[in-house]
Amino acid sequence: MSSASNAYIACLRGIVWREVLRFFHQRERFLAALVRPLLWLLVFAAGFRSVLGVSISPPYETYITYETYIIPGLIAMIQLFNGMQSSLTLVYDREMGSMRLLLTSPLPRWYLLLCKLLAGVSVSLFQVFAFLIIAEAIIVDLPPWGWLLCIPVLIVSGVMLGALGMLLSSTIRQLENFAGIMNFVIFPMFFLSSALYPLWKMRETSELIYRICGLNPFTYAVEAIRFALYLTVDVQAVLIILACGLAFFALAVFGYDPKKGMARHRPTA
Amino acid sequence: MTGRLHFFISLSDWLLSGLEARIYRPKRGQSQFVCEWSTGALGAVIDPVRELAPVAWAYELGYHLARSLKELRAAMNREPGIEIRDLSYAYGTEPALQEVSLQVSHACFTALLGPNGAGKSTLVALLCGLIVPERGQIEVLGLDLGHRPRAALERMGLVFQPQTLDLDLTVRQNMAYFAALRGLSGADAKRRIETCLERLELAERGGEKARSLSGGHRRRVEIARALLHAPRLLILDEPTVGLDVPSRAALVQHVHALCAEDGLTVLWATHLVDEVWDDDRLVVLHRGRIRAAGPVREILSETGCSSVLEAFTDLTTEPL
Repeated sequence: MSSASNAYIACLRGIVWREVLRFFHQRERFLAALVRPLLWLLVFAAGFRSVLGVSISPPYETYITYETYIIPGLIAMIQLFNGMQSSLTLVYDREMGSMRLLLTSPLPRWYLLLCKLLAGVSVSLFQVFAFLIIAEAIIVDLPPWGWLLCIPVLIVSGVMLGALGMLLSSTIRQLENFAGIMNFVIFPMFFLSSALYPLWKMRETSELIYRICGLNPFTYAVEAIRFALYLTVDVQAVLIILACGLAFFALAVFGYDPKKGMARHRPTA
Repeated sequence: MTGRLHFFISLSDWLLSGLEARIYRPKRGQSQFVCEWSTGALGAVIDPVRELAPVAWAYELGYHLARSLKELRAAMNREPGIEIRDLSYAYGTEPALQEVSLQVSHACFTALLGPNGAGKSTLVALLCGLIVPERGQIEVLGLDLGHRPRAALERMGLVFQPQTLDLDLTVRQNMAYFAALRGLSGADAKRRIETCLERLELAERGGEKARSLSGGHRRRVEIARALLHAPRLLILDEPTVGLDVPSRAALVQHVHALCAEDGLTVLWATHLVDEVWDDDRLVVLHRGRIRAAGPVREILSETGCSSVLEAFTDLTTEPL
């Protein structure tokens, strides 16, 4: 292996290792990442299971409980929050100046951002599997091989949601503006998707909302995970999140280009 | 005998220099080894006689390395530092730098002195490619930053004004992360980390979290980190901000020592006149323009001032 490819591998390993290390040092972040979906699963789903009936629809082959239905949505929610958390960290690092360390590496900027993205995905996998272990122990029963098959899908969806966070971080000038992300990105993406209710139920209420849900890439992330957990590949959903991920990442790289993007503002003191 | 002695002196010189030589095996069908120094410079093509006994062969190889080191040293002495021509940059309509032209000499300590808002941080951001100039040209160590930014960054060590250590990681973990960003890993990275920590007298604190260090020690870690990849140029942007007077003095002394001992080119941006020594070169920047540049003594004689403080006040005070 050439020394150039060694340098690329060393860089990827270093960035992922640092991000994972930081994540485990921040126990509160780990707990928050678990508590949020568990609350939805144990409190919200318990309250709604009698109200919302879920009929048999692929990939399910029998009637399922509402808790089982929302598991893929909650997994995707973990990845969505993790992607936004990573983007918050990027904005914070840029405000504080430590982002400079990354951006002045002699390796290509797109590659550095890709490493950062993959580091975020690695962290999200820890969160997802910790959640799945607890969910499996308490409430739901998932096919064992589904755990394995969903890993590549989780990587693709994690990249898509992380790239979206990265794109947003390249447009946000100040940390204070980040609260807007919660209102305008996370909540609409989560609620206008098939995470909490099947799309056909949405259609019964409003054709417009149903159509909006169909345009939401988060819906496809949820469906790809749902099918993967039950040992089926939803090719269309995977291709859509892959395409969205690539588009978001390309725009994020553009946003971090010193000739065009975020770097055109005054450096932090 | 003289030749052999010279070889041993050069070799010990090399071992002390901390420079590394990577020797590439001959390509298929060829007998020549190629030596590359850790500065990125290509050394001599080595063609030792293959029929020699191993000891004699190793001696021959060493001889070629020593010769290559001599050539490298000579090249480094001719190496330009930083050359900036007609550089301008603005944030929107607010100009930050206007037609700045200056030279930073090789192996010299150059203080970039200017009051707050003079454009020092903008200049540093331009030098390390965080932002790109609207007009003008920057050459770092002979490399045009516009065309070869990565090659220039490989040879550059940077210490930014905001502290960039991860406070939850130990000193060694911080260094290892930086090594990874520079593409270094494994035993090579570990050895460099230990060497740099020892150099900055931080070896015993390597296992401590950055959070537990004082401001002065954190800065020293950042300098040690910036030296990890053996750069030829060290740029520091107000590295003493927030430090007490003894820590500031110690840091200035450390970096002067690095400059003198390693032949490192140093650009030290500051607004504090007491960080400028009499033997330094000085660039005074005010409102985005260069007001004076040259050796300190020369500037003092040109301005007719008796101290750097007086000259600085003189050069940066607007007439009423």
